[in-house]
Amino acid sequence: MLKNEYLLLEIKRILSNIKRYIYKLEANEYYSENNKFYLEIHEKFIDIFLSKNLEEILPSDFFIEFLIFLNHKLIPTLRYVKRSQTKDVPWSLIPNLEKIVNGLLGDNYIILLRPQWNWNYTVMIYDRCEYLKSKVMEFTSKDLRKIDKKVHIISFPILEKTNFLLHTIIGHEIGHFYQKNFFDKNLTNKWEKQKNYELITKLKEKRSTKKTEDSILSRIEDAKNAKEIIRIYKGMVREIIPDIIGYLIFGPSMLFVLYYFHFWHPDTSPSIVNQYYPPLNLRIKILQELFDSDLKKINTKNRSYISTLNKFNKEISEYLLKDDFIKFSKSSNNFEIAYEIFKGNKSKIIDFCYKKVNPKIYNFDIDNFDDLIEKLVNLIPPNESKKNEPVQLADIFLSGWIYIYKTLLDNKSIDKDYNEIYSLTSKLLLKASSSIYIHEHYRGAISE
Amino acid sequence: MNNNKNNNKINGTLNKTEIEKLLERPVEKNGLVITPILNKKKQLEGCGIDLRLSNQFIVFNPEQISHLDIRKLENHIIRKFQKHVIIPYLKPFILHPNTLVLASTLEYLSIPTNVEGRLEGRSSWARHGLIIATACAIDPGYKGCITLELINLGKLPLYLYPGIRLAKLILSYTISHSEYNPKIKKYYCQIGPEFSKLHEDQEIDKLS
Repeated sequence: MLKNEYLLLEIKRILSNIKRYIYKLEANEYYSENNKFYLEIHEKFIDIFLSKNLEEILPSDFFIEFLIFLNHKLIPTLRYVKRSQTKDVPWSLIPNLEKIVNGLLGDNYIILLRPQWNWNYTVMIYDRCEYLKSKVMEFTSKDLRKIDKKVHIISFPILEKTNFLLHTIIGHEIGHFYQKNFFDKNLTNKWEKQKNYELITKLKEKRSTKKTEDSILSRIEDAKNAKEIIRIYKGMVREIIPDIIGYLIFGPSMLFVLYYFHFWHPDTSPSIVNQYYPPLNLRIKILQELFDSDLKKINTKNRSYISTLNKFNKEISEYLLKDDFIKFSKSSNNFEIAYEIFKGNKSKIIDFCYKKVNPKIYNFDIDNFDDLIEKLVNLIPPNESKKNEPVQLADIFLSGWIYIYKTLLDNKSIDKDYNEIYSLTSKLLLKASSSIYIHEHYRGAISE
Repeated sequence: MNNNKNNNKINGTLNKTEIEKLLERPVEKNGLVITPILNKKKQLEGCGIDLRLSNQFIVFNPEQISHLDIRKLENHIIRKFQKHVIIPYLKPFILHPNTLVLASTLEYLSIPTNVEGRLEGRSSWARHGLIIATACAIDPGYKGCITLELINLGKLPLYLYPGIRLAKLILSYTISHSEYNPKIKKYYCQIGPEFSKLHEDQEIDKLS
């Protein structure tokens, strides 16, 4: 048998296998229609190639490439759907998150929530279907780009499925869409070239003031440092924009969750080893500044929950004084310069975030909070306002964080009960999240 | 002074006005909580309040188990023959004839310590053969969603849409306040149907 004939048979066999597997996946239970869409677009892709005489559309030079594409690119992406079955995801969050994503980014943005074994939250900001669309375009006249939906995967740590409060970090993951937008518009190749030139000049000047020798080696060193400074700066912006967006969507809950992370997340200087992640205390500092300014604007009359937020603010201020990120500046000249660039652009970055999220910025200056927290104290899900109206997802997050924080402050010897209190609170918050969706939907349906 | 004494002079079934008063009373002052009430006007009528179906179910897969011996029930065995099913809102759960499934009320309840509840099926559903609860007494002080044991005694499969009004909660005052500690109860603060915890009954060892 000729090699090409054999490869063609293999392509057909694999395409049929994928189709059968998609049928199997379609039989699973999913909480969101998005999963169905994801499978449908894959099915469409397979059908396009199966329904035609493959030899006519696929030049033989591409057989191997196409096989590799199927086996190594397409098949692995089906795991996202397999893992996002209802039983494996915090399903009560899904419709609320979809509403937020669609409200912010548009109806064509769809997300799949799935667990991952890494203890981490991640988002794939590139459309997971784009590669399928372009593959079809490469070989056929069909234009799958008419399907304008973009699929993005948000992953959460598998054993934290019901840890409602931790899912606040999804606000940060949503923020990465805006960060990409900021990078595309501002941190372009042109910007990078310009910045690189400026930095090399600056580093050279610095050397001349220190009267260091201007050798080839030191020039190479300058170029290396300039590159690293840009990477450190980009790393800062890459994480801080999502933090700010998360804060604007979910309010101080974003600060609570970052602060939670700092307890066990060792801060290290940004480097190639940690993909130039900015130190957590710098990220906390940026959000704390926003939080501090918001707290000052709040009407404190008859709102006892403000005192807990003030205590939290004070605790963070003390932590930032004690564990200052500037320590990295002292050990790394490059970090110090990158931070200077960041400081110069900080207000521009913050303005960018506010403009993007406006008018959907979460306002936590509401009368409801004491009541919502009191509900948790009395083991009741915090899903309704005093007027029996459904609250927002961000209200549920924040009431949960304030309740847990207050419980920890008030009970110094909580160790025995902590696990029970935390998991019970998570249960109540998950229930609240489920209730607000159907409540809101019902109100909308009867008012039509 | 006896703290357990009921301040209500009349003991008996609560009517619409009484229920409304209890709903307005804060929970920390022994008020009644039913949340969410999607449509008070429709749900609160006569001598009770209609409760809705949630989107969580437990179905039974007996294929791998020969019988139930409660002495030998352990969590992993229970999980083997009971399966959680969650239906997105606006999609139906189809209950086939002669099938038992566990479901739950959409509403989360906090019952005052001087009130007991009984859950009854709505007659409109009963006429289609749907039985909604067999263990229908709710203790004073109870907190959580209520598990429903749904059985379709009719001849046709029933489409059950989460959110539909399925049951009626009847509330009555008790003679005195109960000292209820929800934390020692088996089905404490449940937010959906829960697997049976029959095996946790301490007396089983003594009777077998």
